[in-house]
Amino acid sequence: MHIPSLRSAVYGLAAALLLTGSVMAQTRTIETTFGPVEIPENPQRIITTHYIATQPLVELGVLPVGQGRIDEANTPFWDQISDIPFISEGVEINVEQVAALQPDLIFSINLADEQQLAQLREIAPVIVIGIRGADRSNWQNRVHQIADAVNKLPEYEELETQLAARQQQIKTDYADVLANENFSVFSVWTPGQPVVFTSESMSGKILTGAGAQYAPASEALALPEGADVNLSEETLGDALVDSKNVLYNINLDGSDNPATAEFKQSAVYEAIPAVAAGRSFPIGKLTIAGFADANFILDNFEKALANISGK
Amino acid sequence: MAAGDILTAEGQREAEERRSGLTASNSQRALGLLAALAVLFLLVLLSIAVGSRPMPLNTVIEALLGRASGNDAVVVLNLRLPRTVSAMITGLSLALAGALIQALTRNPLADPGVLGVNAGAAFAIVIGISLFDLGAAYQYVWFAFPGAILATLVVYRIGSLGRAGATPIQLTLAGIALGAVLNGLALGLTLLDPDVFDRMRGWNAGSLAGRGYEVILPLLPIFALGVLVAGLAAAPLNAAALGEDLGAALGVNLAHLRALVVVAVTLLVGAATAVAGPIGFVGLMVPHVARWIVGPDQRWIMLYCLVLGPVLVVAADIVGRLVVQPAELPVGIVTALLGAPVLIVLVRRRKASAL
Repeated sequence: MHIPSLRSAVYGLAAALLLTGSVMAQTRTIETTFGPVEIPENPQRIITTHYIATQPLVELGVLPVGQGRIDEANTPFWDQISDIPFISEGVEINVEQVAALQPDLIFSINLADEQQLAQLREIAPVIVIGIRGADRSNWQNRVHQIADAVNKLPEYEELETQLAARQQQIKTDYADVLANENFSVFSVWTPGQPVVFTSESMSGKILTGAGAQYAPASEALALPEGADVNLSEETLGDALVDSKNVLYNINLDGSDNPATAEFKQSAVYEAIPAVAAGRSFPIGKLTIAGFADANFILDNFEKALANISGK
Repeated sequence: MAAGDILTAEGQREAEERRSGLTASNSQRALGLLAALAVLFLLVLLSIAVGSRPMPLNTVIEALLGRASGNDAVVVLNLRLPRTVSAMITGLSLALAGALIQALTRNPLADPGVLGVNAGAAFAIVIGISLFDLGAAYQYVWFAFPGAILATLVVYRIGSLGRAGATPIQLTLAGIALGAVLNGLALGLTLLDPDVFDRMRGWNAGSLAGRGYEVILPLLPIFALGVLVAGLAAAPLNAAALGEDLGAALGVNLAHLRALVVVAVTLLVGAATAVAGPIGFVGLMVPHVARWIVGPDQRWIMLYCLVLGPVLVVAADIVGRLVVQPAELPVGIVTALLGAPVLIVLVRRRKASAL
């Protein structure tokens, strides 16, 4: 039996360490919404502090080693991610747990506490995803940044192409309906505080891509600071008054959101002309984390169009 | 005049002011109450006439007379009217409960929440959202009210331990302790789940938006019972204010009186919190204003609270509907913004509104 000499074993070990070190040391700088970030060339142990980054990663074929809390009802990927430990229960991030998981890249959000972000940066490079402010509506940019960071741009482009093809298909299949109809989108998360989503919102970009025209009154509400416009129950009726079709939020598993369901029982809702004409439809989850949410919106839009056209 | 005479005269004037408040006689107090009722009447009209959706006055009147249709009629009849009723009932309940709890504890800074009512309601709602996916205002009612009742029962049980029975200080300490525990548990559960966090954020602000008849009507008997029980406690509280021994000599059963007050506060605040969430400052501030006007007589204080509580909440709700159009500011935020400066002014005039 051949036993390697001590010298060759030491050389082999040194070479392995050098190789590992050189791989670990290889970094690149990527541009993000909040400035350039130096990240590993090929990140292996990724942590997400919020589901807004978890879903895109899973869609791109990457599983994080730690994740922000998500419930089974709010993700189509529960089977794939249920065993991944939660390092954040929603608001606070467990920085010690993050450190214990030895990540080489962390995705967080611009709602996270600055001090906690600074602590995370001591552990690994942090890419901050914009879910509030000017970048809120640009969901595809968020997914693109994540894909870029984990070297999955081809996979991103494939998903993007599929989505665009589906939007085009809907445009073609329902061209006659889309030419004559318009839409408005709203949700109610807190009782008495409805929100209208304009064509520049996350869902708006998906729906207009599929040929939806937004009704003028709700479009006139668009604010410089965002495309999701907070209203009151008094003003919602006016915002939806010229809409031929009203679309409202439902959960990803198809269940009703309780506050929206309560509002749908109200006289205010019944007085909306489109509702009175039987033209109100569920549209999906209006905070878009990734392509699964976008496709769910298109699923529901297609059902609404089929209903309108009588197909 | 010697310095001692001046001090004595000043002391007498303050003592007199404490006894009578701004009004010197019952006829003046009655006139003041009528004036407050007139202000409330105007505010009620304003609450129906204005909102985040601008509407001409004649349209509002047409809607009230049943001659309008569509969105105009819906806004006036289905939003503004029930909301105004909710504001009035919530306001009078919180103010009345504040007067009762301040008189019972003989602490002018006592708030109706001191018995753990708000904390019990909030904890129950957190449980409801976490376990049953609650999210509608009418659903909150059926968790908040039993939660408030249960919390107060526990506080009363803890506060009754020992030979002295349910003394005000024991009740206060038990309420603060249980409130802290329940608030801690509620906060813990809230931070565990982003959905609960989002929904509780809205509820905690204290809002009358979206509170239709389906929310307020089932609780009307509870409010009425609370007001009735509070009325029964008014005269005995006056006697008890003279001191425990003198009160007992005048025939007041202190144990029964304390139980009566706790029942009234629980019914009033439990129902008000179930309707609108926790609305601060009303129960603290309005009794101060009432005492400042009428002096320490609980019967007059309560009558004034029945009117001034609605005045404050209806006014705050109107402001909240107008300042951030086309959205609205929750009434709880406005009462805090309006109430804090007024309370500071009143506290600076402490002797005028002291118990």
